[in-house]
Amino acid sequence: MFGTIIYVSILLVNAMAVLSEDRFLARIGWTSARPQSNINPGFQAYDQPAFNPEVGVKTKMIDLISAVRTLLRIPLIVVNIIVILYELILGG
Amino acid sequence: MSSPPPLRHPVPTHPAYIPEPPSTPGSPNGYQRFSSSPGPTQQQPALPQQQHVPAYMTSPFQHQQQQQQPHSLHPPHHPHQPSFVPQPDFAAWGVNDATAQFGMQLGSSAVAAGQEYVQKNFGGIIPLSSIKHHFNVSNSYVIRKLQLVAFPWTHKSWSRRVHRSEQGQAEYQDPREDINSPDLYIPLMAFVTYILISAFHSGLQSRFHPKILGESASSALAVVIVDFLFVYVGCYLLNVQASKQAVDIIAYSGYKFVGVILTILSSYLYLSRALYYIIFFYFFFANGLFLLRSLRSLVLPDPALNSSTATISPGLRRRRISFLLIEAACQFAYMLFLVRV
Repeated sequence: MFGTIIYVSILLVNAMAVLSEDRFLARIGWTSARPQSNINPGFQAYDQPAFNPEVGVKTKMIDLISAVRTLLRIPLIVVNIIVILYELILGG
Repeated sequence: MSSPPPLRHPVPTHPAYIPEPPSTPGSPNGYQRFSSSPGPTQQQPALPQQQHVPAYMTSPFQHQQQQQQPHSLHPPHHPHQPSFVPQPDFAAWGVNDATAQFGMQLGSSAVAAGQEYVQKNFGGIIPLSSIKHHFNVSNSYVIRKLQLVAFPWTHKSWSRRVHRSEQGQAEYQDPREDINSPDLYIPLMAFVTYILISAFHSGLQSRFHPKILGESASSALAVVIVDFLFVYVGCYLLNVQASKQAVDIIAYSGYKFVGVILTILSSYLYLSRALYYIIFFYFFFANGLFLLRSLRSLVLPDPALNSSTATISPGLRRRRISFLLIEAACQFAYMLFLVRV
């Protein structure tokens, strides 16, 4: 049962990491590229307040997906290899 | 009492600077010259001597000092007694005195460094002070909180009390003083009780196996994890700053075990099937209302307390409230999964 929790979480993270940026996410408009409304984009990162409560759910999900894709790619490779080897040797 | 002892924790000092205690019988403890004048030491009560332990001698020879303590308690009556020397006789072990002191310093500083390492690295993952806060409960709090979880309909004020700490920061009151504060004691005890009761239940049907303990613990833990992740991801998506309140979310997700345990216990009364479901639905609605009112202070914080979330638009507010309703409705699935032991 506890192994099932680990498997489910690994599969969910895999599902997020496998989404292709330009083939799938760009097609439905979920790219992480922000609309550059400001004229001077160099100042935009510093002009934004630290906490903006009016960011929508969609933006947060896009951020989450891009963060998972960027951050967890290399750990996921290691974890997947370990799980595959475990299943090959000891899996029922 | 004289001034507080200057050195209590192991502070690395060079052994060359540590003076040897003089062997004159007049001064029972040579180290008193650090905190008081050396003249009238004979007339002082000898109680503060207990604290003038050199820093490098704290832990390993505590026992030996306490054995020597009754001798040094009355120095005026035994003026010819040998002076209070807290050091063991290193020469008896064939070790040079300075070498042994240096080795003990090294050991104690290594232990201190290890403690600091653990504190620094695991304190970030497990918020220790927050967990201490959540276990600060009293008997009357536990009884009142259990009543509140089982019967939340007449409770009026659900806001948590805030007090100012010494640093001037606003922080929540301990559960001991505040009935609305979440604690971890009741969820933990209810979690363990749930595991035992499910094993008991299977034992009544004479199908007990030790693996049932592990299975029910895993399924209960899975429910807690799924519930926590749902609330946490929901808070992330709805821009609620809940990272500091992760322990609170775990605590709130553990209160459902109280209702589940009471439902399972009611099944031993051999009531009819309909009455059993009525009891289950009662505890589901009670837990749902409790969560709805309790999580409201987390998801929709009071603007007076927290200036960063002072302005939220009505749309976001409506979304947060509907998120709360979904979370309360999810309790139905969780509890239905849990009562099937």
